[in-house]
Amino acid sequence: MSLGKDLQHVATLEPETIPSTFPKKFPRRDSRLARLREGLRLVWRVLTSNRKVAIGSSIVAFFLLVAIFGPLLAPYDPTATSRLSETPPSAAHWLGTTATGQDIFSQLLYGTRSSVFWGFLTGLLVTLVSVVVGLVSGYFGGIIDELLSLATNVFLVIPALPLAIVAVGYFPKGPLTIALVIILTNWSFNARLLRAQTLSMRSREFVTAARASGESVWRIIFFEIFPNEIGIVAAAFVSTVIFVLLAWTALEFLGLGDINTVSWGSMLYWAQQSDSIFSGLWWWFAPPGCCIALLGAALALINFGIDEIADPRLRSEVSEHVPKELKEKAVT
Amino acid sequence: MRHLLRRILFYLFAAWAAITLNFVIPRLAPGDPAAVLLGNLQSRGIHVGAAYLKAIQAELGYNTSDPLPVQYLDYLNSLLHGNLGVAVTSSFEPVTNVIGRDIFWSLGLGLVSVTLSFALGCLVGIVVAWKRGSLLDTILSPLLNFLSAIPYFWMALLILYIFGFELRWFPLTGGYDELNVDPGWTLDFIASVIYHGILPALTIVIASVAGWMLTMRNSMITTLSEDYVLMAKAKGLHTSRIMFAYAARNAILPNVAGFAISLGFIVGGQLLTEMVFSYPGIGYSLLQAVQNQDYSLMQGIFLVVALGVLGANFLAELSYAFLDPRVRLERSA
Amino acid sequence: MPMTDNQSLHTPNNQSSGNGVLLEVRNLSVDYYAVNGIVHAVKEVSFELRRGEILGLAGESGCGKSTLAYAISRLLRPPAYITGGQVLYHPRKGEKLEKASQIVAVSDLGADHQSGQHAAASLETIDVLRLSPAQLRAFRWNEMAIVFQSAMNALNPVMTIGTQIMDVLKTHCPEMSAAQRRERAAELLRIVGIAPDRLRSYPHELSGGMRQRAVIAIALALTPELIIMDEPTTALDVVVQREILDLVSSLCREFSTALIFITHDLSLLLELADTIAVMYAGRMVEKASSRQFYAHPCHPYSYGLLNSFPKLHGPIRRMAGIPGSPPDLRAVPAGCAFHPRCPFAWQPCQQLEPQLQPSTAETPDQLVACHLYDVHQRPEGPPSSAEFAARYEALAEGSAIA
Repeated sequence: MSLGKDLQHVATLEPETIPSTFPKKFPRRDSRLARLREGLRLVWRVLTSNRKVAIGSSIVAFFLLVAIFGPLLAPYDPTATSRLSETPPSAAHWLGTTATGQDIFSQLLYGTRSSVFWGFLTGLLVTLVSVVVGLVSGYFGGIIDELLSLATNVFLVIPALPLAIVAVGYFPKGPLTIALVIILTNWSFNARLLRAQTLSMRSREFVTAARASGESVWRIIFFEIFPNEIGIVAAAFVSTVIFVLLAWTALEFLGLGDINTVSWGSMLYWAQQSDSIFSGLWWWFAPPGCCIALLGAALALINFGIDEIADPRLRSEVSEHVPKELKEKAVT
Repeated sequence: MRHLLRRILFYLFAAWAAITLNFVIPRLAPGDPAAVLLGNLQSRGIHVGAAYLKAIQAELGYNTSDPLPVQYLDYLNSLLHGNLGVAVTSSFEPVTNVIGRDIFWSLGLGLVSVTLSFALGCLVGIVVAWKRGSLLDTILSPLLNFLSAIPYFWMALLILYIFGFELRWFPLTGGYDELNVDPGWTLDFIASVIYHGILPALTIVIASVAGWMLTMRNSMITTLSEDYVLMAKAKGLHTSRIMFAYAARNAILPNVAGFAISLGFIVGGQLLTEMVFSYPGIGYSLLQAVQNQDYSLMQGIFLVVALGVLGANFLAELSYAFLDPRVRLERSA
Repeated sequence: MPMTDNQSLHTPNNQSSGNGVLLEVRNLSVDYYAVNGIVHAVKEVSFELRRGEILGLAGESGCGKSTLAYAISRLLRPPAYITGGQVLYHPRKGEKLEKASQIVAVSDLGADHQSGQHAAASLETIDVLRLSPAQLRAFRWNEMAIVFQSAMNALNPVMTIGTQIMDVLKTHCPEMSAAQRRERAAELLRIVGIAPDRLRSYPHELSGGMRQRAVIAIALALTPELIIMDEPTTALDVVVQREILDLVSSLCREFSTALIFITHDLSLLLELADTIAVMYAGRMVEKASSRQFYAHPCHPYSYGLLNSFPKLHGPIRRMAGIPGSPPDLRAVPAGCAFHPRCPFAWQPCQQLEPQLQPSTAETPDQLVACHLYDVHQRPEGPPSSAEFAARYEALAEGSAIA
């Protein structure tokens, strides 16, 4: 072992620097609850320790608050039409009105509720499917793994959006259809990630011990192994929500959702249908897109922060307290 | 060689899965697509007789009286003969004709923009990782992070609005100037195509470059701490040689390996971009199909896109094996 | 900085005689700027290396020996920084000098604490730590090559062995044709005992021993004056280790290359090295010729190291080993860093940091940093070998009981 390496670890306080993954070994505790608590505590520590994560989660928290309380603050009924059509932002209509005179600010508040709710719910369901497939596949191995891996890899290479468009096209329009289709087309990526993680965990002592003590297979998978992967599952959930959000709005934008409910996607659909661009109605199509981008960027920021915590080398800012002249001299 | 064979088998299987999904989905759906289509046609004032309905059903492959296995064999058989049904939106033209006409536009746009964004993303990733902690790194990385979260179609709307509508630098719709230029290998036509293609390509590049760049940056940073990069430095090699032949050459591998997932995503984005720009590719046809419930065209487009992406992924894997000599040994062992 | 710089006092500084000093390290210090504080990994290390000399650098892991090597070759990466000292390199006269003179950076010694007396020598001296990036590139591998611990990690996995050798030739000898480069690469492989057709092999296609041979071949490509080897045999099994050592030893004699060989395994050095230097907690605690060192290790730590493994030859000694473990570099004990583990430690060891100086007047070449050899601290003179053995035994028994 060279000292250089030893000390770099001292310097970064990271004994295992595995890139882009978030696995941290959790010490074996007596109760599983303790390990779960350990996992949640880690999530909390991650939330507060890294600047990127902190900013990202603040923005996400803001959107969650708007989703919950926003409609209460809405000055107008989002679907009510009025004669004041296509008015630019003003004191009465903060974000202007649509071609049919609906208040865009109110629409945005209501739309946030719908989009955030469905985005997070579907993200949760997608993650759930990934977890089940990944853990079962990784734990059992053998033919079950072969088949599940094959399915995972196939869904990984088939382009999701065209498949989703075809699938949604055939079924009754509505959020349930979209949710189901998005689950169908987005579960594979994280399933592969979690399978690899479970595979490496299968032969750990605590799993062997649980097996020896006659615990049932499902208990081992979901009560012994799963709590250890809570960190990586959380990261997977965050990235899933981004994809779900993008897919959801894309399908709604195409008019494949319920176009009569107010959401970010349907707002963009109507904006596009009314040729808002060619009438110069930027205040119609810009706000919902900004919201999607902002929420998506916040979620991505959280994930980058998590990556940096797992591998401190990825940080942009390097030890600020090094004297400048040393840095300059240290050209290698 | 065994590795290659395994991958070929996998992609054949994936292709079969895509084809079968395409067969299964309509049959899982409630209601009769042919009836929907008929209603749709009638609402547009096109009246067709019962005989025609049957013909459409046959064309669509929804001859519901046959047992499913027979339908499936019929479906495979017509696929084999390149028969994807007729596109109602395009006055009953065979779907293969519609796609055959559109595909070149999409392929051209896709190839150019994916190549550009991959090259640009990798290059920026290399530089940013090399100058880690510099102003460039601290500004560019979060900025691109924000860009990567923007939906393609909204980016397209925004770019179209700014550069097309407000500034009037570029045309608003279409693939070329249909009024003044005739298609053909003339300089005017090519210039017109490029002029019309700039905004859609820009959209795709901006929306997808961040993904490549961030993967490259992280992978590059990991690679830069490898001993062989240090040894290359100790050897007194030129910085460019170390940066590209030793560090980037290894760091690019995760990007190539992740090509599959990224490509599927980008292709989806491209379809949406084409829709916004009314670009004459398959994305625009897909929009027409979706709006008019033209199921045959929708399915045909899905099939072509899926098979195209599978093919591109296979090529990416081949190039991966070419780039990483270890793969040939390890995976076949 | 106290000027107890014995090194510069004891060696003549006019290197015009070709067989003199090749490398001078003066008061070199390296710090790690860790998140939770600064770690002094190398503290004011000074030594000299003559042409063709094999210097063995020994110590437990974490003692700073590798960091020292990386500092000399200017390969330290953040958060490690050189905080002081000099590395002076004296290129050989003649054809090598011509090459070197293009890159010579005459150190403006006047700016430092050194006075004008070195001016004559400095004309041919390369101040390694002050080379510009371009000069450094030209200096590297021409004069100083380095062999890393793990050949698997040191070789680019996606590049053939041949390309990795020829890369060096292409950069440093632009006048060579492609055919000449290939011929030279094949010759180098032959020298280290690999069939030349392996030029087209990738690293993963070679065995561990072959990989290390290939790395040595790369190191020899420009027949440098100095090679630094950082634990080159640690990752190998015993038989292969032996082969590599024999190869290194014969090659160094053949090309009269100076070598700094870093290892935690002192037994390897006794056979290979001309001179052995021992490091502890970032400081050099003893430096002596191999023979002297083996016959009579001065520092209690050296004695402990030497007696922690069995010997094939020589008198039977009781194996004692050193109880305890090396200090955390973030909290190095005051005084002599070794005192908590030292069987001789007494009051001055806890307060005064001993300096490296000749152990006795009769042995000016055996340098040791220990108060046992300081007549002011210990007028009765250093302890005998028997006393060393007795103290260590007592310590071992004491720790066994405790």
